[in-house]
Order: sequence, then C-alpha cells, then structure tokens
Amino acid sequence: MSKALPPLTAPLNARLWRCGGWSLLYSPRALVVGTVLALLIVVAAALVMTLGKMDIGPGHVLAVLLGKGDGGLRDHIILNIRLPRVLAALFVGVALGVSGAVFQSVSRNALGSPDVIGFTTGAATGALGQIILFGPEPLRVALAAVLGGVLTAVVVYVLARQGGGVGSYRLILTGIGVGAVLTALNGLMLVRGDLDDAVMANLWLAGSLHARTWDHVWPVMIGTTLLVPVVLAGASALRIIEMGDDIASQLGIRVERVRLVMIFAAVVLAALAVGAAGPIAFVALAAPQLAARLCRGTGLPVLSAGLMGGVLLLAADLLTQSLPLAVSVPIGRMTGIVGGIYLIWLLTRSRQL
Amino acid sequence: MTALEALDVVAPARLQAEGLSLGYGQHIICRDLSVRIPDGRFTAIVGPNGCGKSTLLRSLCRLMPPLAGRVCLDGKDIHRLPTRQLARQMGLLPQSSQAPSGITVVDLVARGRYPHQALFRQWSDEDAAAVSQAMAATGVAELSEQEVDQLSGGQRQRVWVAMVLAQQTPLLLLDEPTTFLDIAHQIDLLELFRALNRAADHTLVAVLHDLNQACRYADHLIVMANGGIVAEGDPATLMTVELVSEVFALDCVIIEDPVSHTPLMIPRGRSAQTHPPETPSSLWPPTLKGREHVDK
Ligand SMILES: Nc1ncnc2c1ncn2[C@@H]1O[C@H](COP(=O)(O)OP(=O)(O)O)[C@@H](O)[C@H]1O
Ligand SMILES: [Mg+2]
Repeated sequence: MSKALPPLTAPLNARLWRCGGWSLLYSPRALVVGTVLALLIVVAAALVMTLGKMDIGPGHVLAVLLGKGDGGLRDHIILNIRLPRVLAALFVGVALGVSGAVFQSVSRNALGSPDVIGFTTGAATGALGQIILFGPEPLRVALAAVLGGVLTAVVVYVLARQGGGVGSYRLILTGIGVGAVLTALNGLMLVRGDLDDAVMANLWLAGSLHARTWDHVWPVMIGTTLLVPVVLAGASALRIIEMGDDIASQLGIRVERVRLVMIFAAVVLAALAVGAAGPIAFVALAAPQLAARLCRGTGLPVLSAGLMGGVLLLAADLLTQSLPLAVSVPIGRMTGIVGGIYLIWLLTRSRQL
Repeated sequence: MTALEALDVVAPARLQAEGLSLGYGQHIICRDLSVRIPDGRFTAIVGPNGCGKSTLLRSLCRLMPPLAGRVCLDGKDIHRLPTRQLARQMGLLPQSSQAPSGITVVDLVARGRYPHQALFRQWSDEDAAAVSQAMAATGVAELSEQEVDQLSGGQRQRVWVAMVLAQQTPLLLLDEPTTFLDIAHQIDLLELFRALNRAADHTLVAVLHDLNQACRYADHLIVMANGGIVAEGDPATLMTVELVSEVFALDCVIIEDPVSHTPLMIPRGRSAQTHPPETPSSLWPPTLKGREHVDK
C-alpha cells in the first residue's frame, strides 16, 4: 500500500471540528439549512404572536415575554393563549419531523412515516378513548395518546417481525393494515359516544391548535426536549443499520436494541404530538424528506427534519389564521391538503420508494 | 499423523468454535460443528451451494447466536464481549449488503471506521489514513466521489471490500468476496488478501467458489458439505479426486498448477452419472460430414 496518498481530512461534504481529543463532523450545508430554518421559526413565531383578533404590537409582545407587561388582558392573551399556541405548534412540528426521520430510516422507505404506518392513528385511538370515556383533560389525553401509540407500535412490530426482518415494505404494509382497523375503531367511538363528547372528539380529530393551554404544551415540550437527544445519539447507528443488519452488527452495533429504542422514542414523539394537537397529517412524512433534499447528505437529518417540522406547522398555522375564510380550517386538515399534494408528487416522481 | 498435521492441531487459533449447532427457526443447518481458525493464515472455506458456509461465517462473527455450543475469541465467548471491542478485532463482509441510495464511495468506506469512533470522537487522522489506504488497496480511490448506486457490480464489490479493510481488524471474514468480479479483479483481490495476510499478519477467512483459486491462494482449506466440515488442512495434501467426488459429486483429475505448483482440479463431468454420455466420436473432432449435417 502506498504511503504517498492525498490527505483525506474528512468524508466528502463534511467538515471537521476538533478540540483536544474531541472531534465532530458536520456538514456546512446542513448547518446553513438549520440556521435558515431556525430563523424562519423565529419569524413565523413572531408573526403568530402578533396575529389574532386583538391587535397587539410586536413591542408589547416582546415586553410581555421579557416579563415587563402591565398585567392586563393583553398580557393574559399573549402568555396564556398565543404563547402556548406557538409553542404547541413548534414542538408538535419538531416531534413529528424527528419521528418521521426515524421511521423513514428504520423502514428504509420514504413512505415509512408514523401517519402512514398507523402509529398516529393508534395514538388518536388512545386519545379519543380518553376524551369519550373520561373527558378531555389535556394531560390524560397526552398519556392516553402515548399509550395508544406504543401499543399500536408493539402490535405492528410483532406482526411485521413474523417470518422476517422489520425493514422494508413489511413494516409499512402491516402498519397500513393495523391503521385501517384503528381508523374504523375511531369512527365507531365517535358514533357511540355522547353527542357533546363526539363533537369535541371530532374537532380534536381534525387536528387543531385552537384553544391550546399550557397543559397541552407541557407534555410535548418536555417529551421532545428529552427524546430528541436520544434520537441524535442513535442517529449514526441508525444510518449504518440502513446498510443491512449484518453489516451493522459486524460493525459493533446492537441492531435490535438500537432499533427498538429508536422506534420507541419516535412512537412516543409522534404520540405526544397527537396528544397535544390531534392527528396532524403529513408533517412527519414531508419534513424529513424536505430536510434531506435541502441538506443533500446521506445522513439522518434529525435536527433539520425537526426544525423543518416546526417551520411547516407554524406556517400552516399562519395560513389557517390569515385565510379569508368564514370558518377557520383546522390545521390538521390544512397540512392534510398540502401534504397530500406533496405525497402525490413524491409518488409520481420517485422510482424507488 | 504426519508432523505437519500434528503442528496444525497445536497451531494457535484466536477464533475457535466448539460443538456449534446452527439453524434458522426449526431448520437446523449445522450440528455439533467444531472449527479452529489458525492465526495468521489465509483460510478458504469451500463447499457446494447451501451447505452452510455463510451460516458458519455469520455465527463466527456473532451475527447468529448458536443453538448449542459456543464461539470463542481468545478463549472468551464472543456473545459476552462488548460489541465494539469485537468489531475492532473481527470484520465480516456479508454475502450481500445494500448501499444507502445516494451515498458516495468515500462515505461508504468511511463507515467501516464506525467501531473506532465515538459520539464525540467522530473522525481522526487514523480514520483518514485507514480510509485512503483501503481505497487505494482495492483500486477504488479514483471512484471516491461517485455514487455507489451508479457503479458496476464488480466496482461495488470492491467498495464493500474497502469498507471492511478500513475497519482494520486483525481477523477478516469474507463471504464470497470475488463472486461478481471479472477474472482480473478476482486475482487482484486474492493477491491483495494474500499480501495483507503475509505483510500485516491478518488472519483471513474467505468463502471461495473456485477450488483452484482456493488452492492457489489459501494456506488452509476447510471443505464443507451438508452443514458439516468434511475435511480441512493444507490444500496441497487435502485436494484429492475422492474428496471432490464426495463433496461436489464431480468426476475430475487433479494436476499440478504449472504456475503456482498447487493442486489444479479439472472436472470431467458429474460423477453421479455412472456412465457419463460420451460425446460420439463421429462428432468430436467435428468431421466434414458432421458440419454439413449441422449446416442443413
Ligand atoms: N435467513 C434464512 N432463513 C432460513 N433458512 C436459511 C436462511 N439463510 C440460509 N438458510 C438456509 O441455510 C442453508 C445454508 O445456507 P448458507 O449458509 O447460506 O449456504 P452457503 O453459503 O453455503 O451457500 C440453506 O439450506 C439455506 O436455505
Ligand atoms: Mg453463502
């Protein structure tokens, strides 16, 4: 082997940051994309904060957020109505984006998002059960959604594993089947319940950021803050598992364990998002794809997918609030329409899904 | 027992398996198999399709838990060793793997460095050196910026070999590394393996399909059939007409390879047919009459 080789400082398209014994690889492009997305989030959040029936200027919003409000009605609106709404949109978006990135990697398929493979529906089943049987108490709804999502995931995982690996179409097809059963179950619950509860549940099922309180925000905010680092830590292993279980385990990865932890984290993220805002369609499908296209890397774009999810949800919220429509469109329907069009585009364009 | 065989029994072997039973679900492939991989040698595993070569290799590399028995590295059960530590000692090139779509050659090869990295130690000078050396050795350096999807089968295979070479393990297991390569690249790769084995004292195990290449390049041969080891040892003494007939049901002659002076197996035909249909002497060598017949 020749010694006089051109120096290779880092893999292609990546830069190296070194400090003592530490070294981190990063992609300059992903850094730019991440920064731009973060800025977009700030702008969109600022717009949502100043938007609404009551006209409150940006100066006042800033003052209130810095704790220098006058304690009046406007302070209440900002702190207890608009801020929870913005934070709910942001964290629901991040949770969905990250969850989608994990599922697409595990299933090695652009269609492997939690809404397509039935996990979101399962979380909705849990939440609906709570709303119809016990009432719409936000923390309990969040918990029930997580339970529903995790149970669905266990069922799908076990069914998909029968006679083969979890990767590829098996997981997706099993998930679609289980999801179909759960959709029917959700419909049944709406019919069976008390009318008031059913109306409430139906509204919730459309996916909404209206009337979000801090109780809606806390679970998804705390859950996302705790789980995103877990996903980040496992991202490089997950990326290698995409090359096949044999290669990954011979490289020293405990494939089943990594996959289970990551699926668990992603299911809980998706379920927390559902618990907070109802089933928001397509963000988990579109955000990682858009992020991957923008970053052009082969890595698992966890952070940029999360940020992209936040941007998409805030943008959808802005759109629903500012559309000149008599009825306000629930945000879940809005993302459904936009995302559906995106999905059709994806299906017609890509040869290899 | 000859002196050479006696030497073999005590030859040091870091990697050993005892009483292995291997299977998929209810389907048992190997029963009570024991094997020692002699250190610092190039071992070739040969045997007919489906006899359990890949299964054995995967279990030696902890990809498959044995139903009974155990695989030990330096006397320790490999299923008890930390996975990363094992991955720095032993690398495996599986029979098939898939490259993530859009990945470039250098990025794929760099993934072989995974067991040497950590969350906050993602790239070192050793990583860079190992990746460029592995790419140079397998002749894929000039492809480094191309996407793996767009390479030919043979080029892709060399990229995967580069990936396991970049892993820089003292033990290297290769499952049919030469299968998709043209003859020149097969020879290149086998010479590379032998050079690695000689110079860097790597212990190599490769599943090979070509018996003659196995005899020429390997210095230890393991012959498998029906999930068991039929014979093992020095190719020069191991390769016999009887063995080939028993394992591959092939009638052959074995002569000395005029170049490498190793056994060269030349098949005659399937030995299962007791009276192989002789080519009618009227057609071979083709006579004028025969040709006329064909022309019409
Ligand atoms: N994943 C699997 N599931 C079930 N049976 C398998 C699997 N892989 C291999 N086998 C069976 O195990 C036997 C040995 O296979 P293998 O070790 O791949 O053979 P070889 O590599 O020698 O061609 C074959 O009969 C094959 O059908
Ligand atoms: Mg095989």
